[in-house]
Amino acid sequence: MALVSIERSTRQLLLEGGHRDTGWGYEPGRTARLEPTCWALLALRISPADSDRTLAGWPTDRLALLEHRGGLPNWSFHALALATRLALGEAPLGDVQRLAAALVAARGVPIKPSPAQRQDVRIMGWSWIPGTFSWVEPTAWAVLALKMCRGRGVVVAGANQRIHDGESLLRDRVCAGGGWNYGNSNVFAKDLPAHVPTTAVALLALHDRCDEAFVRRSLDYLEEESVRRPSVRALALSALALGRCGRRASHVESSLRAWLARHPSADIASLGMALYALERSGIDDAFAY
Amino acid sequence: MRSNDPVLMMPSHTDPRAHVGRGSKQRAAHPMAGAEERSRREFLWALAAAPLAAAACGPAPFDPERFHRPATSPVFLSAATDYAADLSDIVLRGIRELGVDVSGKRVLLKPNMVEYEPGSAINTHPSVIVGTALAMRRAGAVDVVVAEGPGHQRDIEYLLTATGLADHFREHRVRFVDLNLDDVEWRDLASNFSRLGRLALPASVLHADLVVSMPKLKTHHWAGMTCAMKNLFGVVPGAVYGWPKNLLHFHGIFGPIVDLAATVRPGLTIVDGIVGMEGDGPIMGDPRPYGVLAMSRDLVAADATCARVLGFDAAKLPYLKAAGRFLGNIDESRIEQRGERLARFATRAAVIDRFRDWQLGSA
Repeated sequence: MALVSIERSTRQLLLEGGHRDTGWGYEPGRTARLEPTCWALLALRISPADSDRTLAGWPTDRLALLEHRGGLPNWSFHALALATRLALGEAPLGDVQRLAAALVAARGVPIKPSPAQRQDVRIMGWSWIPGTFSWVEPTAWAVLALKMCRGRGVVVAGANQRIHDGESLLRDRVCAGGGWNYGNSNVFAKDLPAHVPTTAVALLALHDRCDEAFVRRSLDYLEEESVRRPSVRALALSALALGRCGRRASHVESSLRAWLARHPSADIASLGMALYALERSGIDDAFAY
Repeated sequence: MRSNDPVLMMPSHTDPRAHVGRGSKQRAAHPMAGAEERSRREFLWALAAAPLAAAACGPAPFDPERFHRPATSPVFLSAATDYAADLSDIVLRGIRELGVDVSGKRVLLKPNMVEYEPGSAINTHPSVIVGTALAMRRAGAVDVVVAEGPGHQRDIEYLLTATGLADHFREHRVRFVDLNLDDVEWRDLASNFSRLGRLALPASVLHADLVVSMPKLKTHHWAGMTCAMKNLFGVVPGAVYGWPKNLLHFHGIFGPIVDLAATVRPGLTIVDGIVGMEGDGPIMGDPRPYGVLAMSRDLVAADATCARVLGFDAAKLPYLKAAGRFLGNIDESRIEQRGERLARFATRAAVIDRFRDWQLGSA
């Protein structure tokens, strides 16, 4: 398959895979969910105003965006949606302030310290859903979204402190060899391995910290491992993170194109990431701050 | 590859904004008076069991009218020393031996897929999964899908590719469903040991005619053993609850194991005990050849039998003891062994310290 047609066919899949007005499911024809909807909107960029309306009408519970209609609040996807609306540039200031304020107020619940785990449990980042512990991926998306707010002049009380909290958690959880596991870096005195997609999301949140050793180490990990542990999601997020951090991403983009040609995927969220990663050079970078 | 175990993530308080289902307000009061004197590790382990213990003290957390525990439960054991054996034949023999009717049915196979590390025994082996899919077709199933929702590794595409399963599925035209991303429906849990009340569950699981739990036989550093019942944590959708599925651990590990088994009610269990794991499982342990493929229509009886293969006293595993009250049989006198004799496979797996008391022959 010609390289240019990879982007075209991916775009076509995304265009055909959504429900008009209500969003995208994880696969064509499925119930609209927040994560694939955000990635499809970012990738397609059909009409920023129409795209923003899709997210403006998304159901909430006490200002927290629900993962799907009738579902639970989800701070990871809430933060992704806030980042998406900021990137689209059409949201009223009051809307993004309310979304950001809800994010600032959210935090994972504390747990008891344990000798089985090395992490500092006093640091409160963000949980996936309310009432649970803080984890790397929701924390990374929250830090990224709040930094995007700050960079665009959206003022929210307490945001700087929460950005600091989130960065502290990411610094605390980084794996010994760089990168991030989905959870902790060490359990039962054993170092745990990093995961490629989780690492890429954390680096998007920390791309203004590239002078710090733990970030540089993680970028080194991602440059090497992203093509050794490939998937659409892993390659697409890695291309975005490496590009944003000023590292070489061309080999990852080439791998992503080749991977898409050999491994057809129906996962709308991953396809959205892929199309956005492959076409981002021609458009504004959504995740700049 | 090694990963962590989020079961340690117990709350020191609960978030009043928690949206964790109707039962969340009924969470058990902390029953661990005097626990400060114990080691931290013992404390956290005991906390994992607390909701189950509290449920056992109150009104029955299940409606006896809704469950029928059979008088006896057949468990079929077949020797299999390696994955080159004709596993499709073995599974088909087990299906016939157990009288499982799959003709015309839509079958969902739920293996245990967690992480990928070469040379490890973390996941249900691809040969067992594919062999079972082929056996189901030979037995007349109209549709066979393989479905899993890993709680550790979100990148299922990488997991399927690295393990070689993606190639097998392509070759045999087997469809895979990522349960983490599937459409969901809310269901009241059929029992209430966890006090979760209800959960969003994948539509593919809820609407299958026959769900087959296909665990890897492993020791587990928080549950003692992971087998057919614990395997059902993988049906809880990550897109709703996150990675890890922390909600389950916040409600104690044993209660959710029982409640999920009572709600999903797999009609068949096929345990990959050909090469399992011992020691610090479910991920960081060592491979251990047990040489057995175990099958039963009663997943509780399958788990109890596999517990004995590992050298556990089945009645000492809290979730098996609870499930044995209403869901299935754990007593040896009510389990009818078919195929090979249990004694051929029974061993004493290495376990971490806290589970030594659960092993047969312990005081």
